[in-house]
Amino acid sequence: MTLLEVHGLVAGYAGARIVTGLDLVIQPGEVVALLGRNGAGKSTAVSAITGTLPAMDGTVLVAGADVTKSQPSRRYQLGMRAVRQDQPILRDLTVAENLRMVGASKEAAAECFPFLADRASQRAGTLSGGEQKMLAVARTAANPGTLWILDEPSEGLQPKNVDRCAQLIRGAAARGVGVLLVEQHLGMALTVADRWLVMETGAVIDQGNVSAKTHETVSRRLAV
Amino acid sequence: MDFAFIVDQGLGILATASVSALVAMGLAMSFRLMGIINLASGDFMMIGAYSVLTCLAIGLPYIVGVLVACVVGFLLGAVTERSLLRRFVRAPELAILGTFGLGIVIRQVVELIYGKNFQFVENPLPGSVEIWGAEFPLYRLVLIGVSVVVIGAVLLVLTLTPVGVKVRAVAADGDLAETLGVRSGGLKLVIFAVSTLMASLAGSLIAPLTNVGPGMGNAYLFVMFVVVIVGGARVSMVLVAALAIAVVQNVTTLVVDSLVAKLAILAMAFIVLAATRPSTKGNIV
Amino acid sequence: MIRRSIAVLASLAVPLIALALGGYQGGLFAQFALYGVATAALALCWGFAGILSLGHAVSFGIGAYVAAWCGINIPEGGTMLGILFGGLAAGAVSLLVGLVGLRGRVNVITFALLTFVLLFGAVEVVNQLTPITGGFNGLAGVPPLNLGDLWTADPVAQRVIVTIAAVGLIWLLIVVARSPFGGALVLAKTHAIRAASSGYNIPAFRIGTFAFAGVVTGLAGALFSTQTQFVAPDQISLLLATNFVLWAMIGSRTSIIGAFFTAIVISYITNELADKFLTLWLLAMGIIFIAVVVLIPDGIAEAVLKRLPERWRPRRAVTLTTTEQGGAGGGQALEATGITCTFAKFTAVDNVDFSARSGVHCLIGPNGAGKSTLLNALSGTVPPTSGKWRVGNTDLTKMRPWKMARAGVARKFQAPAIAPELTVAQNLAVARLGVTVHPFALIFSPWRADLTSTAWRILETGDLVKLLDTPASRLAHGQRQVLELAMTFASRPTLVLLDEPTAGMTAAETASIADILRTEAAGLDIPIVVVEHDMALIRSAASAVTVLQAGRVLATGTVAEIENNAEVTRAYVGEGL
Repeated sequence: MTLLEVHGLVAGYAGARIVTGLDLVIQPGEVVALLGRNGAGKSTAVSAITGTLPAMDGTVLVAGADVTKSQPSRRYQLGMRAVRQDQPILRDLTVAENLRMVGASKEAAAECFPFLADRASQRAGTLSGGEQKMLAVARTAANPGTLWILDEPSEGLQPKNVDRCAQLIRGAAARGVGVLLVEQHLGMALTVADRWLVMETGAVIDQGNVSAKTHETVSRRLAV
Repeated sequence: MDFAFIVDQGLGILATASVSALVAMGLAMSFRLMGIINLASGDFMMIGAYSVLTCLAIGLPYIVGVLVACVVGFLLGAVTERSLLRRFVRAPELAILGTFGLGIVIRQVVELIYGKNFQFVENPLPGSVEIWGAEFPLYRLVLIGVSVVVIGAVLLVLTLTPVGVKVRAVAADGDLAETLGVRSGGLKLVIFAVSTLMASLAGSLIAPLTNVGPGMGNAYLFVMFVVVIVGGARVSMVLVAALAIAVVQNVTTLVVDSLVAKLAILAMAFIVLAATRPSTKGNIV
Repeated sequence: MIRRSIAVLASLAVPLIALALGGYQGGLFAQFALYGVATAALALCWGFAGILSLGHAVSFGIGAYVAAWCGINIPEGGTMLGILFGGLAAGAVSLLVGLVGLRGRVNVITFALLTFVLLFGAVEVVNQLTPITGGFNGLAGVPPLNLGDLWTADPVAQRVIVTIAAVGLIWLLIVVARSPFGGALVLAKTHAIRAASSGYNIPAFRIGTFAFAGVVTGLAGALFSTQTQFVAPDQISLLLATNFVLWAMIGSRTSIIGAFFTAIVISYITNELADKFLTLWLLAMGIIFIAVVVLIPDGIAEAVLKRLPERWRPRRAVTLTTTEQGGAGGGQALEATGITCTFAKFTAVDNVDFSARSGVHCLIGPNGAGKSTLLNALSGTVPPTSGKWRVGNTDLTKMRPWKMARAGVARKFQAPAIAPELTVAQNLAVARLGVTVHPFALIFSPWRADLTSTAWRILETGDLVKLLDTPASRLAHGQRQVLELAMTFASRPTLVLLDEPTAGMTAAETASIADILRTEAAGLDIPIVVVEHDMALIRSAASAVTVLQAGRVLATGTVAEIENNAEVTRAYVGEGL
């Protein structure tokens, strides 16, 4: 079954269309990297797919069900797990409460990132930016659902933890989870992804399967 | 000043504080979760009082009246949230104006049905108990006791239960909580309904101590809203504020008069707001 | 021309109606016109400045009581003094409320609540301070308008003068609302930080507006008491406060005229119905209240304007000019030392020394390296925990953003921050005028702004020149970016701070913006600090690059030096963007 289908998605803020027509399909076990320069519309697309921003047009199907007009919690029930870019965790709750909320066990989370074991009762807002990202990834890995939407999970992480993060993504994909990965860290993205898409001014301008040449192709596309 | 006098005043302060804390706590919760203040809170109190009045009139015992008040408050709150407030998720000022209009409607409907005149509810527990040589009016003790139990129960739910974690999650970041599977719409409905339940309960509890009339709620709004301004949108601070304001109100009324007491409370709101800017963000408890 | 004639005719019509209607009806009309003035003053606060007062009747009541008391108790000239004092007293109370509730970041709901409890307090005072206010009975025998023994207005003169005064006050409100001052309030309603970075001291503007609305409402209340020759607690009641909000909402809080006339019309209807069916009328009012909130929350005037054909809609003509400012006044370098930004326990920027000479200076680094935080610190929008910085001899440390803007620091935000309710040209004018025009002068200053040639070049690049009279709400995301960039260069800056100015643009647009930045930095001889990810822009425009990592400076140098720096390459291993 297709995990995520996005057709002609249009989204934006206060009348400005930032995503202007996005098509995207994710199958089980597939990691798709969504790339593009800042402001290309990646995060807006993610918000519309996860449902925190209402779509202006187009459809979003999660596990075959049309969720275009549904709340994010409905998408969660259908197996979607999201890590957003800014403040990906609940700052006012403790680390343990952040995990407990989604039924993730402390042990499972600590297996992903061991430092979490000692921080259970710490208020999550006092973690550093990178640690918050790791908590969010651990929260997702410990209760994986079937579809991950990750917006820059490696932001602010040490190289060692970036590798661990990539490992967790590959591990989930091996068990059939589909992953949409928005990344600035091109190296990391292309290590874990099966397919890539490049967005510009709100739409996909190029895409393909990841191969040895991808880094060069994509770099040129992104005008770096 | 003898001991009995101090006890009497202290009980008065606690009774005032517990009633305003009941209502203000509900206000603070809905303020945090939905960003709005229910301007019809006083009218929900009035509904509680009339629920008791109606139950007594058809021969039911007082306690049933209190329970009916809770049920009516909860249901009316739920209907209000679902039919009115939900439309204004992004426009809180319109939502509060909606509750403003609702308050007028409730008042006028009650006036049409029950008339404008004050009515009285007989004290169901007229006796008093003697502790350490002082007389404690029984009903006030019960009122304080019930309030403390309800407030304590809400606090326990918020801090210890899974539902409480979800409430705090929505209060902290509604979008993220939704993304993590919390059905915030349902939760907001319940929280708003609980807040109107608490107002209605407060109204049913003070019914025997006051004049019951369609406009009775307005007399309490002032204190309630000052409590929320001073306490911000944190439940614990709201409880502290309720107590502090009850002290100022009762002591000033005793020493000077009720007008000066009101002005003192108003001044308190201004000073606290100017000096500290109570948080409307951060942890809800 | 036609518009102006309509305005003049409408203004004349109000006193003429008061004259034409019979004694009783004309008097009522004059009273309702004063309610209209108070409602319009509320609309100015609510619709333009974004601050809702639920206790607007306090200002009206204070005006009415002060004027009545003075009129009765001061034998010679008491009435005129009373009107003056009434306005001033209402203004003073509003000023106090504003000082308490409108400093810093404003929560609309908390402020509404504050004004609401103030109303309750005021009602108590009026009802209980019987020796002065007359308690429930109010004060009777208020004299009509008079100049002591010289002259006393007869009923006709009274209502004509009152209605002329009402029209005058409405004109005053319109002048403020439609001036660049009002434009700045509207910008601040959606983007307070953008308005601050355009040179506007927004808390002061809001407090000032609230106090001004208080004075106008107080004057309306004062005139009201001379008109009715009687003042009662009704003039400071919950009902009146509710009515003001209801009328402003029905008429449109974004239209001074709409609020004014709606208040008059509804007052008439209320007056006809209320006596006959009081309870039912109040019930109906509650239902209308809810219905308006649900069905026409923007009000009638706004709904009508939306349906009018384009050419009938009122336009705010803005004159945008350009004169080449001669002489490079720039050449001053930005010098920052020891900038540290700490949030709770997390240090985002750690003791950074940073200097930028004239030219484009790019700040790069991985996400989370502290680039935006550094920019926020330097522009004063999020002041740093410690550190000092200056441009040339101007010390910018601890300077508030609006002062910094007036000192020549221009700032662009990452997400386009513009006022969607204003036109493109108005946005540009607001951005331009805030830097040089005195706040009070803004009220009377025409919508005329002299933009730099840089701003015009940017507008041309984005093809915005033909869209100058379009509401900014209709612009696409990329066009908004271009508009805000042009706003940043609207006046001649000494330092420019840009946070990802080309985010959301195509590669071609980015290239032309890069070109503009490079040539203008040279032409204006100023430092332009740009947070940027785009290597193409950096290569074509940057004269210097600073790399941040984990809140510290990793390296500084020319583009070539940075690209060949082994340490930077290591930090960016595998990182393409």
